[in-house]
Amino acid sequence: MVSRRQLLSAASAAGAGAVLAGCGGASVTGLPSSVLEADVHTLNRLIRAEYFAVGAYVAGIPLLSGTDVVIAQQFLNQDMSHIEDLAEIVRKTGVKPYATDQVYDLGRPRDRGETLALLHHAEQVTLRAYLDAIPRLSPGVVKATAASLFANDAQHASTIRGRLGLAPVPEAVVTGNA
Amino acid sequence: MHQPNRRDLIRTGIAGTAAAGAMLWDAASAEADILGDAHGDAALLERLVGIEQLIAFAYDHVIARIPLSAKAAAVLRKFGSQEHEHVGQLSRALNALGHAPPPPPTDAASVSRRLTALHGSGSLTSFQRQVGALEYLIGIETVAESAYYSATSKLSDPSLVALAAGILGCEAQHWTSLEELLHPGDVTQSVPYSTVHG
Repeated sequence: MVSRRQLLSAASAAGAGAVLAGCGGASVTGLPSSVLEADVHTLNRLIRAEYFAVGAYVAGIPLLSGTDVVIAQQFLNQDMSHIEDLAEIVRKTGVKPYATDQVYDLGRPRDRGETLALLHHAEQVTLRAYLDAIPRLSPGVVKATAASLFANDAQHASTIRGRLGLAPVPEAVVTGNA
Repeated sequence: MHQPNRRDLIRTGIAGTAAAGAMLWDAASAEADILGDAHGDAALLERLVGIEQLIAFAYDHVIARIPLSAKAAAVLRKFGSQEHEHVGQLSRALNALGHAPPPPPTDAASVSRRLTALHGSGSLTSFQRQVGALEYLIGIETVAESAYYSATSKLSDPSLVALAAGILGCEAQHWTSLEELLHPGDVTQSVPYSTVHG
């Protein structure tokens, strides 16, 4: 189980890293203020999916070691950064972004393989959420911003697959079902 | 003049500074215009097919001409095959709109010139070894990312937006895997940023 308290703690701990990770990538600066109200629901669903992935990393990192930890910590920081990017767009509409109060039942991974499989599953869930959401979003720049976060999550899934000994790029078009 | 991209900035060790941040944004903005003045789904698809044809040609060229380790050769064959699959999917979408795809390129010199115009550095015929080939392919995968990032904001048909996003995800995975071949286990190189836009 991962509680709200653990997620908030991770958010706090990841904050500095998330800011650093964001330095090299696109920020949401410059987005139009014309994000439609209809988009808010879609964006909040993406925030919820990213929180699920964050919950998986928070639960999984203590069960990993060595390079796996370094990678998982980097991906946790980047997923926290995604939440903040999405939340910033939602705030532009005057609506409060989704904040999790959810407790996630993530099962009980027993070893490295099961833990990495959990992280891979969480990233796949997130990828499917983005693929469902991106065509529904209205302003083109918001679609592109969501696509840029999606592509980073695709890199996470690919890297985790490599750590599991699976083909890192199994499909020519990412579907979230690999 | 070559506009520095994020990779150049990492290598020169200035990423993370305020100055670099401004340069990064400028570079990203310039690269985001890779689809030029193409407007409308057919024109955008035609441009994407043309870029994918160049990238698929470049993979074929590297696989045929450059000595590669068994591991790298297997990875590049897979990625080259996926680039050809992108050409096929985009061409079918273009056909469905009543337009024929552009003819595929046939010679390395013209592909090299056209890719140089798109990403501003290197030449398809200038490297002889695996490291140079991987660095070149990373550069053109960055071109692909930039093209699909831009396409997701410009395409109007929702199914084409989803296709562009799915291919963007694949190109980003190629980028990461090529970096992993150059820097095994170093996630700061293979997944350095929280966003991907070329």
